[in-house]
Amino acid sequence: MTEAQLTNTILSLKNQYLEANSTYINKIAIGSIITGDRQRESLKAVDIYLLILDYYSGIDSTVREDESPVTEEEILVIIAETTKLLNTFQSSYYAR
Amino acid sequence: MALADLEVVLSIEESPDGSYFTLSDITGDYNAISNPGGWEIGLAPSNTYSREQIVDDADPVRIYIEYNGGTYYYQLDISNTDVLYSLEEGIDLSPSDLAYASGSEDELTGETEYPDGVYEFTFNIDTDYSSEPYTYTNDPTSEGFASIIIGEVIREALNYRIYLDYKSKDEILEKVRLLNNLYFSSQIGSTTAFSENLEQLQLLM
Repeated sequence: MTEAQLTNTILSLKNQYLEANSTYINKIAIGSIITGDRQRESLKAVDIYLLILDYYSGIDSTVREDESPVTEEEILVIIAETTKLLNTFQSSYYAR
Repeated sequence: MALADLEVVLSIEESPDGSYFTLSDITGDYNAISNPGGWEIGLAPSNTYSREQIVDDADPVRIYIEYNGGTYYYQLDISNTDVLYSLEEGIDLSPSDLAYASGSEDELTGETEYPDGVYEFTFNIDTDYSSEPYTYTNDPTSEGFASIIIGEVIREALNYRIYLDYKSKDEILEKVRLLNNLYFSSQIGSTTAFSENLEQLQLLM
């Protein structure tokens, strides 16, 4: 993955995350507890994944391969997990 | 004494795996208005001091590092000005590059990585410019570093999934929260808060 691809991917995910977060805030504001709880779980996970991506992209690309505690393969997995969570983020959840 | 007007400013960064510091001299060149503590150029300095003067005087130049009650140093080779000028680009210092000077315990020399914690850096010149012995030391730069534990927490966070049990999720979330606290401590310049949160994090790992 090139540096530009990584940067664009992270920006795109952050944009989607903030949109999802906005939906969550609106749900909480009207007292949708079940939906709010489910949405918050997804957002907490995405928040952690974005932290990992920011950490990885913050390491100088010239030393990343040798000195990063996380590998590119692991980052690709995290990007996939983040994308999956954001794509399946629902505007409403119902009790089972 | 001209050397007393010099104000060396250091910038230090740690490698992601904690194996070296990159130390840079960001003092800049002397300017009477914008940078009166900067480096002069050439011999016979008028207001501050120059790298050429250090080489001419053959002064020992050392970077001192203090960690956990121990003092260590790296002595620069000043047979010519190249090394001093190259400090602007940055030099990489591993623990194996350091010599142990004094203190309660030698924890750094011979190690392959720097332990997490608060470090203090000073730039020291011992000179006898104009036959007057003088030791210059800049204002110490204190920095907290935590590359090792940050790497460990990030690696653990790779396993976070929403379907994990609450205990596992809470553990990861708490460690990430403490990681953010380290970042906030650095932002406000509190080495006390940094050490406190680092210790908490190390206890959880």
